[in-house]
Amino acid sequence: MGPSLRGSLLLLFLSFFDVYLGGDLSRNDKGVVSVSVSPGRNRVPAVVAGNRWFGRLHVIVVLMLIGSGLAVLGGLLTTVVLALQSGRHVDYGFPGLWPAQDKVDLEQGLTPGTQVVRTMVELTAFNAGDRPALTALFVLTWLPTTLTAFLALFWLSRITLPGGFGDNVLFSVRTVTLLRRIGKVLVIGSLAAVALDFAAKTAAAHILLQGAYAIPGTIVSPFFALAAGTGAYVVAEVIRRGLEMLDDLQGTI
Amino acid sequence: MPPGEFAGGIEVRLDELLAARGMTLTELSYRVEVTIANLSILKTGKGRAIRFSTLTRLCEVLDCQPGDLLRYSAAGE
Repeated sequence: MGPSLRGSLLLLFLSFFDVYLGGDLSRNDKGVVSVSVSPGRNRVPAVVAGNRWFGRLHVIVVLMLIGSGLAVLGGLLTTVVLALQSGRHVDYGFPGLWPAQDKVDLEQGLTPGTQVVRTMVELTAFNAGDRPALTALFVLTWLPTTLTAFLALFWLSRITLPGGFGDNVLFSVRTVTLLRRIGKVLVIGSLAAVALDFAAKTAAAHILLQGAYAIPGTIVSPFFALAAGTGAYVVAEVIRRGLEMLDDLQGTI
Repeated sequence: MPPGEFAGGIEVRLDELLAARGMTLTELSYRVEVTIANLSILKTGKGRAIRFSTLTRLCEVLDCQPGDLLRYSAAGE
């Protein structure tokens, strides 16, 4: 390996160090690379493109808020259709049900030599005779999740409001309160969503299927909401401690 | 009492020192280069902390020791 290649690889590794570990990287006239850690770690990251990126962030949050609002409306619309559809013409049903017994012919859909190792069938079923109960249970499968997302995004959009670009507005008790509110709704909402989804799907399975068993529902997305909620609490605590320090600093004469 | 909270407090005896020297708060503010608002905060005991540099200038101008300026008062005094 030539000296220039070794030097480039070293610089590549040290660039990683510089970016991810907050070290300070420099190279003198003779090509010698030196690294210092502590000054880089204490440096406040530069603001990219002024406050414009924060405005763009607000636009993204508002778009996500609109999306979650549409999801709520879509859920309501589906619920209304589910509640009003007649038994003869059925378009919508209770989704995400796992039958205890299933027979699926997959021979036509496989390429030669392919073997089915495991099958999992998910049904969307409806029974006009149990319409009120199914409608109520269906609401429990989607409303807690979408409402949790909507509320969290609504309060997040309050933090990123264009009027909140100033340091004193952004770094304030109001932001701490809103972040705690977001954390609370994400943690409680995601746990409630998992529990209600589980209960609703299991109850619906007992109404619609023979030999039904408990259906765990969706676990992955509530996990991310739980992580995001905990993160919001952590950021709120960081800002709260910073505010205490600022209070001490401003009270020093 | 919760940890980190104290029953007593530190009094800043600016009024007494100013009266003894016949000096106004405005004059003191000008000479120590601290705003009247901040001196009022100190005087009323609402200040959270005082810099050594501010204390030094106050002692210089008022010709006193830090102990003349600050006094610990226990709760209820």
